[in-house]
Amino acid sequence: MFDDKIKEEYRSIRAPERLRQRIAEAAGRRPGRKPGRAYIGIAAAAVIAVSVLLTAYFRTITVRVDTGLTYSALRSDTEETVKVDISVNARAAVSVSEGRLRTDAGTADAGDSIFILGDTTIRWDVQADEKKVYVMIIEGFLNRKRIVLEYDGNHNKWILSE
Amino acid sequence: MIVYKKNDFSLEAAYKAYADMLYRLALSYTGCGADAEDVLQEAFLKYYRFAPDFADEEHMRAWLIRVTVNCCHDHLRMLKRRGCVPLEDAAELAAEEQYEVRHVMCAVAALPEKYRACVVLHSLEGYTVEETAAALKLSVSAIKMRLSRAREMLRERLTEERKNV
Repeated sequence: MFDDKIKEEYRSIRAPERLRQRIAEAAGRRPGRKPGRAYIGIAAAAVIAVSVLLTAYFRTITVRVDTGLTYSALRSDTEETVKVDISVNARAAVSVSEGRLRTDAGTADAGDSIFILGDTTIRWDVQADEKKVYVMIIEGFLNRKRIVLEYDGNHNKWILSE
Repeated sequence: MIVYKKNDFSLEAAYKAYADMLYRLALSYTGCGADAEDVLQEAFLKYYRFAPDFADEEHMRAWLIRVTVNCCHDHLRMLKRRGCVPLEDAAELAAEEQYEVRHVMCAVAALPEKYRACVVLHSLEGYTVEETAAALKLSVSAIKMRLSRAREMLRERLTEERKNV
């Protein structure tokens, strides 16, 4: 139908770079609910809640993260490493909005996930940008936890909060 | 501690593999870059929240295409309800010197909705008729019929445009 030149030019059209960030941010937020669907959602949730109650009891993760002022070390002029101690009681996926995660068993860049179970120490390398807010998502089978990392100018330290 | 490497179907991996193709597909429906971005965001969030277990990558690709097409339909319906007319700036997204592809994109965006995905997937993205049929959950003969009709409509429109240049 179309010659190769047109196909090539067509395929050179790319999704804008800002879209990746926009989707990553939206994925990090709790999903919104349209007002019209609220009742259907409540009814469906009630039905599902009964059927998955026992399963949920065993599959819900409990996450403990040491928050507050946190240890950090300047890796270079532009990078900071933050130590995050996480304890989970079931398998959970950890991902971050920016930076790189390092554990004893491997590394993962922003957007990728690593899966953990039990007590884990994670080193989180981020750009040493004091104006930025970084987000970590810890996601289990049925629930998720959001941890925010930002710079506290008053104490000159990085802080983790939930 | 147990650490599993992420599987190939994470949000990031899906985005890297298919965002460009799905963006062009959404663009052919909405005719507008901003609307295409909205559609793609919705499609990838559905993937993030509701994606089922996929048998293989082809299954995932077909799922993403169908979800994107459905999001396009929803988006266009929403625009109609609000009395909005989609901006037809699809051609502006092609570089200034890409005259031909600009015409083609305008012509594809002007096709009736049901023909657009067939043309984009088969004639521009290079999928086989069978792959296109699987992605759109249509029969092979239905795809062939739509392609044939779309071809006629496109030929007429592009010929008309060339006369007017």
